[in-house]
Amino acid sequence: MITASHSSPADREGRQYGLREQRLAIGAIAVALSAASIVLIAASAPWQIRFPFVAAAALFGPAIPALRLRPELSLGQCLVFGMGADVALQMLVGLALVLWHIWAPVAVSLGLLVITLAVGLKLLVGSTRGSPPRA
Amino acid sequence: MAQTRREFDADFRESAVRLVRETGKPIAQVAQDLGVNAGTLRNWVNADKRRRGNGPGALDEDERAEMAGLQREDAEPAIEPDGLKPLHGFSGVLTRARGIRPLPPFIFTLGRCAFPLAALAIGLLSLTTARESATGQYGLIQALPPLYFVSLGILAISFIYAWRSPQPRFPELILGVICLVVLLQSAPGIIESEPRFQIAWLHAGFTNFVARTGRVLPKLDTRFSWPSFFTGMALLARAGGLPDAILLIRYWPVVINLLYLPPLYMLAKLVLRDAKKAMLAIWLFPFANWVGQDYYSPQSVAYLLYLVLLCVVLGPYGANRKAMIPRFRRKPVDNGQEEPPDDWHPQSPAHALTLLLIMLALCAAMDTGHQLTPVFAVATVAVLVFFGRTRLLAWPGVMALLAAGWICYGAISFWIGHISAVFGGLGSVGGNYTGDLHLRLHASAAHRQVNDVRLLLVAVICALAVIGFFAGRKMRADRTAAAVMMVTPLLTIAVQSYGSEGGLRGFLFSLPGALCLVTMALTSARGQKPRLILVGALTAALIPAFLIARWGNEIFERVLPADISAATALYKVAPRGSTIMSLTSPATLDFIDIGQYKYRSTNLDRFAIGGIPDPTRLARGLASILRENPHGGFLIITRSQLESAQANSGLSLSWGADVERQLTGLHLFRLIYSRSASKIYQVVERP
Repeated sequence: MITASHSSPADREGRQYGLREQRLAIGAIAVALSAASIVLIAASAPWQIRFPFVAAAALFGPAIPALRLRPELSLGQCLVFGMGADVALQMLVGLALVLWHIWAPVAVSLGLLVITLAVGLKLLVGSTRGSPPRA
Repeated sequence: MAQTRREFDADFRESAVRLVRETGKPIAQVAQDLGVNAGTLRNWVNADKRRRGNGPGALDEDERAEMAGLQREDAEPAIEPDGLKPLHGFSGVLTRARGIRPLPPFIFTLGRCAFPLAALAIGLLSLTTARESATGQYGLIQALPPLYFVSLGILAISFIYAWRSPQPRFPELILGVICLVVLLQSAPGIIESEPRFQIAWLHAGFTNFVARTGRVLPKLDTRFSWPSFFTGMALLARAGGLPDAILLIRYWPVVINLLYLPPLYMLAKLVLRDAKKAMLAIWLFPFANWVGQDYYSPQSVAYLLYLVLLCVVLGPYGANRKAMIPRFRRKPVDNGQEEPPDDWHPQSPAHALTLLLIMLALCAAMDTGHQLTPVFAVATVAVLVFFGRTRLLAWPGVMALLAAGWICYGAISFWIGHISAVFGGLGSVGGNYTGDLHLRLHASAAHRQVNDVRLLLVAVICALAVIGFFAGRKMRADRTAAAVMMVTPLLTIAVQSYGSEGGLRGFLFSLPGALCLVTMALTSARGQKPRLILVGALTAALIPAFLIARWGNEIFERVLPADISAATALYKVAPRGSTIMSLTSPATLDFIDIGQYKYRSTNLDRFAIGGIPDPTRLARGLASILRENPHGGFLIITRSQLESAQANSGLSLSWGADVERQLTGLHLFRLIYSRSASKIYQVVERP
């Protein structure tokens, strides 16, 4: 039986307390990774620099910051579920491109990075304004 | 320095006790959150329990152990310096001795974190001094320098020291597990001159092909019927500007094992209901994961998705009241804590929809990425439903439909003509477990011993899991969920036809549940000292056992530079459309120009006389096969192949030399390349 996700009123209070900091941190990481990746792709940087950023951004977004928009999920759930969803998304998007014969990997990856950037910015703006952003 | 005792009003005390009672969090954690002494909070909780009556207030075994530890820490002064938290251990002694203002606690945390980091640095540096040529019949362990073992010892001691603390020191524990994964998994990558394992090279070749063409070739290879791993990696490689996916495979096991840790921890915490015990479970995982399915492969990523899926199934959708057989419903433990209310389940349609989308994405990626993982996932979730551990009653059916849908749509080219391959092993439990047994019977003595170590490792883990299942009766942990996660994948082997390879995968999928049960066994010992002795002894036994079990095949699973040179030379001379064979498997082939050549496997048993392939018959047979192709045929022989034949089939190295003599002596083949025991022969046309 499970209590790790159990949130009593007192627990929820504690969670609300840290929610803003979590959104700030996750939003900042999402923005930093996605913006850096977009710049590196646009600049056709060497793979030794470009690939680690793109891989980290693909692992982190867009699901992890998107899930942090939802207040019901704990930080652990956001990170674990988000990581799994990001990996799955990467696989399924690649599969869709192959099946539909529209192999444009760089353009589609840029699209995913822009979504990550947008969600990260939404998290940052919401956390700095003080009111939780609405999902 | 003036010292004062902090005063807490009744409301604060009551709120703190309620927080412990209602959230189920460890007292130490709540105390840390509130900035009060853990022992003080424990006293308040006990007083509250006594007020509420004896029955529910009785401490369970874990709580008693925690209490004992806290009481020892409480032996330190309760008098606190102005406005500061109480000081314990070394920091407290230092402060009292010198009469100086105490250092912030994070300084001491950083100091303790230096031990695992130092162990990591020592281990990695020692690996750079190792000689690849020292790898022998027992594998990589023969090439590892003594300092590497010292570093593992330091790491184990620092982890156990941090784990023994009543208040879990998570930074040190997490760092310890991360360092362990890096130390264990990076060893071949640092020592060996080429990335290991031939199949990983093949998968990298597939990825390169998809990245270059945006196509898959389902008729070429079964794996292309489940292509989403390759398409995902190709997408990433192109976006990241990666010139060749082979660059990924050297340290892939390190990265993927690190990614396994968060879902494993979440899963262990859900089952064990204790963060400290969950840390112990994931500490054991890198040692227990010897089966080597974490190379650059679809199954390595599918396993990650499987773990995350179980976290969703047992986390937000966990349940305890709809067991199909009521006797398996978990009994509430009489520890004074109320059963959690329902408000941790999805609370709104949007929340439920979010979780649904995550699960659909995980299942879709699994179903299109690997043929075997969905079988384990469907079976495990179905049995969890049966035992009432999840509220997703219809989800096994949805998962099965998704998997069947992909087989009927995307994997149709595999499905046609391979029905016997899919269902051939149905019910053949013994056959699936003992497949390839003849290889073990004919294997060299050293290879048999390596296999014995593997079996022993599995046996120890299973035995401890069984003990843990019975010992977990009085714990808060959910031993039924752990047992389901352990047993179901092992039983699922009966419905597939992967041979002993399937057995390895079944063991891998059973590990999350098995390690939770092992943790229950280790922590069931009464008292702190016996527990530490058990954990220490198991760790000490697991270090060499893992190194032999995991890297014991390295003499033929490693890839030598000569193998790569030979394969590269082969593709330069072989015309497209020609047939390529290797004397024995494995061979590092098919990572260049996917789909341009025909590959035929060599069935040595077909040419055997008295159990040993006859060199003359073999040479004639190979020539006959290769001559069928008008574009020509080539035979590649490498040292790794001969080492494999020696270790697995008991064939001597001189047998390889005999075969080569027959190839040229009978004027069937012409030697066109020879370098460092790697040779390429071209079949001679019939006169």
